[in-house]
Amino acid sequence: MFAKNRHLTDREILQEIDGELSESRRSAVICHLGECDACSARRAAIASAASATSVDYRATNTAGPHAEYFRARLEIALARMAREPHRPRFATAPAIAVVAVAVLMASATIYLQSAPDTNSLAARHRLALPVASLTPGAAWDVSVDELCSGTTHTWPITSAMRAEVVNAYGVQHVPSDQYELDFLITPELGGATDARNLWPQRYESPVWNARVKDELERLLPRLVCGRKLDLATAQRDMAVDWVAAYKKYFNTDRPLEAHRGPAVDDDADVYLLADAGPAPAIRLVSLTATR
Amino acid sequence: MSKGSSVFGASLPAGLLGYGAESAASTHEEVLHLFDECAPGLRRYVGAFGLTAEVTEDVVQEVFLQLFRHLRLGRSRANLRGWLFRVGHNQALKHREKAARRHRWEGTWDVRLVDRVIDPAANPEQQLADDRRVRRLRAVVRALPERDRQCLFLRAEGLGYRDIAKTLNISLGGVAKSLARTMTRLTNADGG
Repeated sequence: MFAKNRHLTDREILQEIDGELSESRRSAVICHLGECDACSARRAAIASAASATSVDYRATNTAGPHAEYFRARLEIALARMAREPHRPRFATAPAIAVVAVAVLMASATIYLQSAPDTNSLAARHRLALPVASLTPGAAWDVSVDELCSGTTHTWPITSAMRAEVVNAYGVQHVPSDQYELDFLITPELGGATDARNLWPQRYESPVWNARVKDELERLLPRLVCGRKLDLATAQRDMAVDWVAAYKKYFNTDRPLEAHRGPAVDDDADVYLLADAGPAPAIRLVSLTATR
Repeated sequence: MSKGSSVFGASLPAGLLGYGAESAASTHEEVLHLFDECAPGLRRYVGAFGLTAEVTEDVVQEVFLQLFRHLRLGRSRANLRGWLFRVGHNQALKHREKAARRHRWEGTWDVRLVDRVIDPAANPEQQLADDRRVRRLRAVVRALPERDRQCLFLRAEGLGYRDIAKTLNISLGGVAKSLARTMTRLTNADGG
């Protein structure tokens, strides 16, 4: 309670404005403000000065035109960080118990059953392929001459198309820098910009990853344009099993050492530089039976 | 294409894309959401330490990366806004000390307060009067001790006294006293 002959302090007034008083003190302050013109005027002056200062301070535009860039920068850094292994904190005793149980279970599993050979080259090969029912492969109806003369155009992957593929594969929540939306049949071989020819290929897939496929995508168009390989065969080989195609054309059972370098997502550069004009008819390369 | 099925989660082998990424992905989204919500204010507050725009952004980015680690370790989600300002404050201090070791630091925080919103509806006389008033108030803010200025800015960012106290590592009473002192100065300059 306040003495009748005492005015409110600035601190009491500001705390009332900021909602920082207890309920009982706030009631007393409000009661006093209702009766005291001087304190009421003081409250108005403080509220006005505080508000003007806050508005002026908050009017500072802190990111300007770079706001989107800063957000993208954070997004990339977060995606990178998400790939790093993280160790949740455990209390020591429960952690030891958990580890002990895990070791026992793992030993029992190894003993009782033969574990699937997920590290074998065959298993790694299987992990690298798209789902045939979602990505059967699709190609433009273009001739070798058109393809190799450089007169054909490319069309961009639209956001709707990207969303269709991402949703179909259920990877909406996976950071986009962990994979590339890859053409199954590369556009250099007439591969169509169509959801049936696109799939999210993981950079970090063991062994047979996007980096390795990029090398095949460089080789086959050279062979086709050099008339050393039939276009239809090249398209079919890519659509059916690009890993088998890599093995066949590079004559190796595993990716060559030189092909395991950093990924170059040149698709993004190429296909966003799309030309206007009608797209050619899509010819589906339907070869799902063998996958 | 068939839609709606989580292919990676359901029918594909575990080594493929998407496996084990769910919790990291949701934390990722949560951090980006908080970035959209709080980064402008945090950037403003950190910038008021007199850091360059580049360093300010580095600090802001680092704060949100720390938030990501914080959340992934399963630590408290209570009052993340207060947490952001607390970590931002400490990071800004660290960077300023680093800069001060290289060059003698000169407070430049007020330089950022140049661009302000002009009310297009106000007449020229009113605009002139408003402008003079803002200049008077800025002069007071500029002359404040740094701790008082930090209290004032955190209040302007919408933090409660308890969060301000935690951020600046001072008592609750210290915050109330600092802000009241500042308000007295501001109202005196304002003709009150």
